[in-house]
Amino acid sequence: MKFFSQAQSSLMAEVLDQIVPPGDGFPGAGELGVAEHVDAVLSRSPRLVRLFSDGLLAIEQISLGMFSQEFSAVTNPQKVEVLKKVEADHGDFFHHLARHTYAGYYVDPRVVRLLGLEVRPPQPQGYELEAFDPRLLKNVKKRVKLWRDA
Amino acid sequence: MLYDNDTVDVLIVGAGASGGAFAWSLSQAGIQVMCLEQGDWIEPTHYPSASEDWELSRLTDMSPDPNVRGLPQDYPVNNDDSPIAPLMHNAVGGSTIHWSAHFPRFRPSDFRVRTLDGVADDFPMTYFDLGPFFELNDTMTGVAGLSGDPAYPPKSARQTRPVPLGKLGETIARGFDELGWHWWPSDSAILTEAYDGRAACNNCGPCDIGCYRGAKASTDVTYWPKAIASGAVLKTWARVREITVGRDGLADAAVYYDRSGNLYEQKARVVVIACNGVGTPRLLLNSKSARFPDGLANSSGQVGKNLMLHPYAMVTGVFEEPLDGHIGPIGCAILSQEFYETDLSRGFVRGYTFQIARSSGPVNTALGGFGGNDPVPWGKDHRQVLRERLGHTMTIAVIGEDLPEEHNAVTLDPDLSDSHGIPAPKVSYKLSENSRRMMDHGIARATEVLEAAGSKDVMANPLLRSAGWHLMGTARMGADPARMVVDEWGRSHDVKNLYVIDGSILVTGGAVNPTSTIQALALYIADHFKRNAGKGV
Repeated sequence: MKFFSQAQSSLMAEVLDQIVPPGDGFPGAGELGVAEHVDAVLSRSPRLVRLFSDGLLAIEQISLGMFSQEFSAVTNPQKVEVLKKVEADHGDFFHHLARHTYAGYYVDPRVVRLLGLEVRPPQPQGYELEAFDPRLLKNVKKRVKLWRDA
Repeated sequence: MLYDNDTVDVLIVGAGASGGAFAWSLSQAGIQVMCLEQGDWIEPTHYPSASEDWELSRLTDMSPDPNVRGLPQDYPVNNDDSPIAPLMHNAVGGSTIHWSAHFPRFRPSDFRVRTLDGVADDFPMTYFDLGPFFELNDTMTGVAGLSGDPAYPPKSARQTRPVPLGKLGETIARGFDELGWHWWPSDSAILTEAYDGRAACNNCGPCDIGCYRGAKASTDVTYWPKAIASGAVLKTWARVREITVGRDGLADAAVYYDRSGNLYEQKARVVVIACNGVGTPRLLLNSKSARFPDGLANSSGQVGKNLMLHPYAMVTGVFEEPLDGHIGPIGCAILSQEFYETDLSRGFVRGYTFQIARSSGPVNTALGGFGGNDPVPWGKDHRQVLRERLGHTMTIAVIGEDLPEEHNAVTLDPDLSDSHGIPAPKVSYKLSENSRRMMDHGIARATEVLEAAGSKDVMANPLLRSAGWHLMGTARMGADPARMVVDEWGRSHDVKNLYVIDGSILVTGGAVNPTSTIQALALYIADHFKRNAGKGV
C-alpha cells in the first residue's frame, strides 16, 4: 500500500467488512482486499489522502468515545453504531469511503462471477438484441399531430 | 511568443460538435480552414469499454465532469454556485465523445416561444428554415430512428433502423400505451447498420465512456476525417488563451499554448468560436483589450449571461423481472413528448421530454444508477438491495426547458485557472420556480408510467447534479445588438469577422438534447458564410 500504514490498512479491512459485509457466499469488502483499491484511488487526489487520514482517525476516536475500545475490539453491532456516527458527523469522508468501496468491490471479477454475470468487458463482443419491431407502434400511430404550428 | 507566418482564412476554436460540422462545410467549398483544439485525438479502440475495469473509468478519466478527470487538456469549472455541474469533454469530437447520442431536433414551437407563449425570445429563423440543414446533418451523422413520429413534422427516412428496445424498452413502451401517452423510438446518432464506412453498434451498453466501434457519431469519426480530407487543418493540444483585435477593431489572431507551454500566435481573417456554452464565454471574457475592456463581442454585456442547462429529474423504477438494461445503448431507447408543449393548467410554461435510460453494471448500480442520489445502503441490507436492483431498474430522465435568465451566468473565477494560468469559468445558476414546478410534474407523471409498466418501487431524484450536459445561451443570436451577442447569422454585432456557432448562440433551449439543432445551426451559418464569402466582411 502506498498511503495506508499497516495500522490504517488493518482498520480499513475491519471497516470495509461492515460497509459490504460477508454473507450468502460473498466475501466482505475487507477480506476481498478492497482497501488496496481505495489506496490506489488516493494516489489521484491529495485531498482524498487528507480526508481518509482524518476520517480513519475519527473512526478510532468515535469508537473510543462510545465504547472505550479501539474499533477492532468492539462487537459487530457496536461497529455499525460507530460507523453510523461517522456517517452523520463526517459525511464527506463516509461518502467517499462507501463510494470507492463499492467501486472496488463490484469491479472485482470474483464478485462479478458470484453475481452470476459474465466476467468480460462490454467490448469487443457486445450483445445481441432483436431489431426494433415497428408493430409496437400501432397505438401511438393513431395519435394525431402533437406539435404546434409555429 | 512564436508566430505562424501564414494568415489563415478561417480559424475555428474547438473541434467538437459545431466546429466539426462548420469546418467540413467550409472545406467542401475550398475555403482554407484551421482549427485549434485543446484536447487530442482518441483512438476508439483505446476507450475503456474493452477493459475489465471499464466501470471505474466513469469515476476517473472518462467522467463527464472535467473537475473529476482533471486531465492536462481539461480546465476546471467552479460549480459551487450551481445545483447542476457543467459536463464536457476536451478532445477532437468534444463532448460528442461522451454523449449518449440522443439526437432529437428542437420542435417548431421551440423557435417561437415569445410569439406562442410570451416568454424569452424567438429564434431569428424557424424550424423549417433549418429543415435542409437538419437533413444534411442527419446524412453526415447517420441517424437510427423511424420517420412518422406524430410529435414532429415529417422527416426523411432515417439512415438506419431504430435502436433495439430490448426488454427494458418494450416494458416501458407498454406503460406508455397503457396510459395512452406518446412514445417513439428515439432518433439516435448511433448506427444500427453499417453506414458510410462505419461499423454498426453491437449493443455493448456504455456509450458514455466512448464508442469503441465508432458506431456512435462523435465528430472525430464523422465530420473531421472528411473535413481533413478536403484540406482542413486540425491542430491538437492547442489551448487558446485569447482572441486579439487589430487597430481596425477586427479579430486578427488567436494566442494559444501548445502542450509544452510554448505560446503561439495564429493570424486569421475570420475567427469562429466553437467552445461550448461555458468555454465560449470564458474565451470571450478572457479576450480583453483597450477597445473591448469587458471582453470581446460584449458591448451588450450579455456574454456569459442567460446560461441554460436543462434541469433533469431522474425517476428510477425497480421491477420484479430482469430487464437486461446493461444491453443496448445506454441513453437511447425511446422518448415521450406527451408533455412537451405549453399547457398552463399544469402550473408552468413550456414543457419537458421523457427519455428512457437503461441501466449499467454492478458498480453503477451500487452507486445509485443514473438517478445518482440513492446508492444501495451499506451494512446488512446491502446485498439484498443490490440484488433487487441489479439488472432490474430503468430510469426515466425528465428533461425540462429552463428559460434564459440573466442571473444564470458564466463569469471568470478570480482565483481558479487552468494549467496554463488562464482564468477558469465560474458558473452561477438557480433553478427557477417554473422549472421546479415542471420537474415536480414530470416526476409525478414518470412515476405513473413506471407503475403502469409494472414497477414495484420508484425512486426520484428531484434534480440531478451531474446533469450539465447541455451548455446553452451564453452568447445568444438575434437582430438586436443591445440584447444579443451575435446576429441572425452567428456573426458578432461588435466584431464583424468574429462568429460564434456552438450552443452559446441558442436563444432558448427547447426540452430535448440540443446537439442536432446546434449542428444544423452551424451548417446553416456556414452556408450563409459560403454564399457571402468574398463579398467583404
